[in-house]
Amino acid sequence: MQNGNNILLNQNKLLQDRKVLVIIPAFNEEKNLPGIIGRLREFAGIDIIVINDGSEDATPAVAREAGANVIDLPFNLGIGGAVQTGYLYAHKNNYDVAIQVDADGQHNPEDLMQIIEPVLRGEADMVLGSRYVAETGYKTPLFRKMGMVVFSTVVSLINRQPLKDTTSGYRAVSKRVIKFFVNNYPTDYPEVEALVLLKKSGFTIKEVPVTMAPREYGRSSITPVRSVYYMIKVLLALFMNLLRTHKREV
Amino acid sequence: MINIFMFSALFSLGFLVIVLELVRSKRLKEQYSLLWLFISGIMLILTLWRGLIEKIAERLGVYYAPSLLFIVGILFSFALILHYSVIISRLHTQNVRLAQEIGVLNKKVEDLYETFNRGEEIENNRFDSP
Repeated sequence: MQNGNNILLNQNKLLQDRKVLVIIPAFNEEKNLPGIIGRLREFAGIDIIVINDGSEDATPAVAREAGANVIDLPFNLGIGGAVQTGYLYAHKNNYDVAIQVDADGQHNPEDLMQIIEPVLRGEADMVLGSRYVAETGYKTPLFRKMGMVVFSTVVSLINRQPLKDTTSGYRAVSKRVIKFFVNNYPTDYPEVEALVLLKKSGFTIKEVPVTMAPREYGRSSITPVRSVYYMIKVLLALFMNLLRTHKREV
Repeated sequence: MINIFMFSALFSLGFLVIVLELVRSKRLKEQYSLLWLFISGIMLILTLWRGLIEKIAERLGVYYAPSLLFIVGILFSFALILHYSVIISRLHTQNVRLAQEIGVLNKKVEDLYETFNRGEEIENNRFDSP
């Protein structure tokens, strides 16, 4: 598997002279990180940056041990602030493509190329790894599924483009989007809003199917109370984006 | 003979003086003092000009004139709190950006140290070896 991937990537002309960065936001993920970093490192020519979002456990040490670059934030910024730090780093270090991967091991590194390729080919500014484009065998709890259907419907209407898995954190973006995200990224529950923000600013989005594994260790940060807040906050943010005038970046 | 109007006038005047002193000693920024100066001015006018508040109350159909003061006070408080929420939001954004920049900078410093130390090691090894 490892050699297969290396050969595949070395032969892949698309990756030549292109700098690719994997951004892993991590808050207390010492158990999940070594696995995901190890699997990502099988890909040659891709850099990994872990954004340690003020973890209280051994997250930074474990990540460095596993061979990743680590940025330590002085305190917890939340997922949006952490991911944006990754984009800031990508922008300052002149990366061509940035991919966001969750630390909890739900995103399969095997799907990485599928997500990066359309960006490298210039087919889209953002590629969204989606659990629902094709049958991928991922089962979602009913309550969460309802929220996802609502988001998907609203975002598809606003963007005038069908988008299924709007909350997916598995996404790759182009250099232009990296630059855009440095100054325009929602701090709180950013995934859904970012899609509308990008479309309104003239960027293109593509959705590709990915497989999704259940969480390895620990629990998701979404509790029932938080999911209600999540719904309201995201819908408000989407609505506000409708009222704003967006500068076309492209 | 001290009555409520005199007390209010003195209080308003004292309030105005305190706000001005805070700005003078730079403990309150000019841009955040404008709302306070504005309200102390209004408070002073209302307390000194007894007829004014009654006239306005009559005009607005408020039977008990002093209650007009309460509503003005409450509305002002709302405006001020909203103003602070806006300021806090801006500070929050700036705070996040600062934390991010510190994180990225620290990473850069670490990398530089590593490069520097590696260079020094090579240098030392050259001297050590015969």
